[in-house]
Amino acid sequence: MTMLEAVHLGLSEALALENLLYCLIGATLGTFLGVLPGIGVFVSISLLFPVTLHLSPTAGLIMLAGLYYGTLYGGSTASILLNVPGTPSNAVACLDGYPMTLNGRGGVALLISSVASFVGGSFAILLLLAFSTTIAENALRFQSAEYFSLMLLGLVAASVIGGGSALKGLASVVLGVLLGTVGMDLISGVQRFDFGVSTLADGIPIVALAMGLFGVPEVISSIRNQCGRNRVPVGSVSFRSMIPTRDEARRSLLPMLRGSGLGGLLGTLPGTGGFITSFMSYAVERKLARDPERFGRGAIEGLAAPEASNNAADQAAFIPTLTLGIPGTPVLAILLGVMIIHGINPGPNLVFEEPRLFWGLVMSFWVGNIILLILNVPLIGIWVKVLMIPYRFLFPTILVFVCIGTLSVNNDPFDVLVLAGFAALGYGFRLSGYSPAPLILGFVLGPMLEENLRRTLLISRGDAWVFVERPISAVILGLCTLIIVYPVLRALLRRRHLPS
Amino acid sequence: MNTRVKDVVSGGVLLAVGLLVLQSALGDYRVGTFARMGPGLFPALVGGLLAGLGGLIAITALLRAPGGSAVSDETFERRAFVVVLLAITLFPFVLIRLGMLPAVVAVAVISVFAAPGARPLPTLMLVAALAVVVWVVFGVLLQLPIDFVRWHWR
Repeated sequence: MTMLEAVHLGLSEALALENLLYCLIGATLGTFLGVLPGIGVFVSISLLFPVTLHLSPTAGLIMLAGLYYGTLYGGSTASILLNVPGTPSNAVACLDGYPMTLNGRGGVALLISSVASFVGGSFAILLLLAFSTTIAENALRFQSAEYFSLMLLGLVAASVIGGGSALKGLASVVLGVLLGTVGMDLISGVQRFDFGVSTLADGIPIVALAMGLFGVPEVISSIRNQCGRNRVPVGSVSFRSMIPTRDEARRSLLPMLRGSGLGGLLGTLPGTGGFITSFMSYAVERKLARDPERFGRGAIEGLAAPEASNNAADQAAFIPTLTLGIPGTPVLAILLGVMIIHGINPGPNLVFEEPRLFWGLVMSFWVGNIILLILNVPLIGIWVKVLMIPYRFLFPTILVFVCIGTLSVNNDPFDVLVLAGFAALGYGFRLSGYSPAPLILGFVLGPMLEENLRRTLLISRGDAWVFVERPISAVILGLCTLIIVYPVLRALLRRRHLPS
Repeated sequence: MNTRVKDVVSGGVLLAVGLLVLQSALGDYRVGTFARMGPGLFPALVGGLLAGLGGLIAITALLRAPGGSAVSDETFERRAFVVVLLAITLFPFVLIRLGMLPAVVAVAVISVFAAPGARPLPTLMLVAALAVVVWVVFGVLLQLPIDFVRWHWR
């Protein structure tokens, strides 16, 4: 299929009335939830995930994807106007976005952030269009050994690059893989680690796990801060205040493009999401600037580049997710879970077996991004009002919906107890400096990792050297080793340079 | 608690969990050979890996100079933690006994106390609004197969 045919097929699918409607609902609801502080992508996807099970697979996935980038989009509004990042990826937007608001340029900051997000998203969509067929074609030649290594790379990259202690990241990912083994063993049919509970026979419910690890701990640790905070009205943001001066527009153009490039390319690697790339592109702009001391005081470059790059990265994360079946970010792991529930097998076959769904989804990203760009300008007044909702009313509401959402997936009250358990674990993780993101990735990839390992060893008759004898697998495993060894080496070298 | 103590404790917990899994995987499930892996082999490998990582985390924390990095990143919000977990845990029990709407009311009323200084009237209004929204969204629109109020409990 040529690229034009793909675009055509995708557009006809994405613009079908039902899909367009759910794209609109997803993107708008996502922005709404993203603007609310304390609700990140994880919470918004987990909250609405049960709803999408009632839709057709394409509409459901389009709506979830819309929620995903809508939430990211909305998150920057809270950063810019209130200095409270709606999602971690938007934390960088606080650095120069909030000072711009203080300087009376809040309207411009919001517009530039919308445009930058759109540019970044579009760049990543172009990458998807250009490369996904090629990647999938090559990946079709992969056998279980290559898959095993590739998944290992995704897990290692997610845990080590994610920031913080590499050891803790690895421990988190390994714990996730372990939790993924709960339930029936696909090959022997034996029930593993179900403790005699019938609910666990199908494995740990992913919504309970995700909301417990991310949503509830986020609520617990924001309650005191957010309730004590007086939400200062920022004044009205009028249309006129959003028009940038010629100078502002000129200065944000190049940073936007650089940010998109950096985010799009790095975001393709499994495990590197918008959070890291937004910080990296902020650092790049600061290095390139003639007058770096303006950064942190409302430099428009420091807003445009990271906003473009985090959207590009989060959108590019769909590349490994859709073409290889390896989630680019932990959130997309949930999306893969949804696909599997709908009976669609993610992997390189997806683009060939389900071209309507694949290209429809890809083109819906563009439709959704355009909807967001158009919607955000007139709706900004409403978002500002949404920001004023006191957290005192917000958090009991979030908790009620978290409980009902968890319950409604399987209609099993026991799932809510599982939620409570993971909430305790997630809060413990927060307190002791572990990141829960690698855990989710491990949880989703774990069963596939085990299946491919067992299949490979079955074929090779127990010879583990196959993983290094097959060239592609060997290269990937080499990368894994490099990622693990590099921080250790760097730490050792740095220690030697320090006077002891 | 400083970071060092946290690392030692969390590493120790992971070590213990890993060892328990290792023991259970080897004891309760067939291990098999590498060519024909039984259901116990993979969990055993992963459990062993977890124990090793937990041990490493604890040991590196012990070797670090004490008090070196005493960054207190997160404070333990005891009140919020206890109240929120209590509210969530009660939800399924109230749901089974009394139905969805009482369960929603219970979660909302209890969780309000996670923040100090809750006032009765706004709380009442919030709870009423939530009950209506839940009934409309999940009962009327999505038609969840759940009793909203259970009249004949025993």
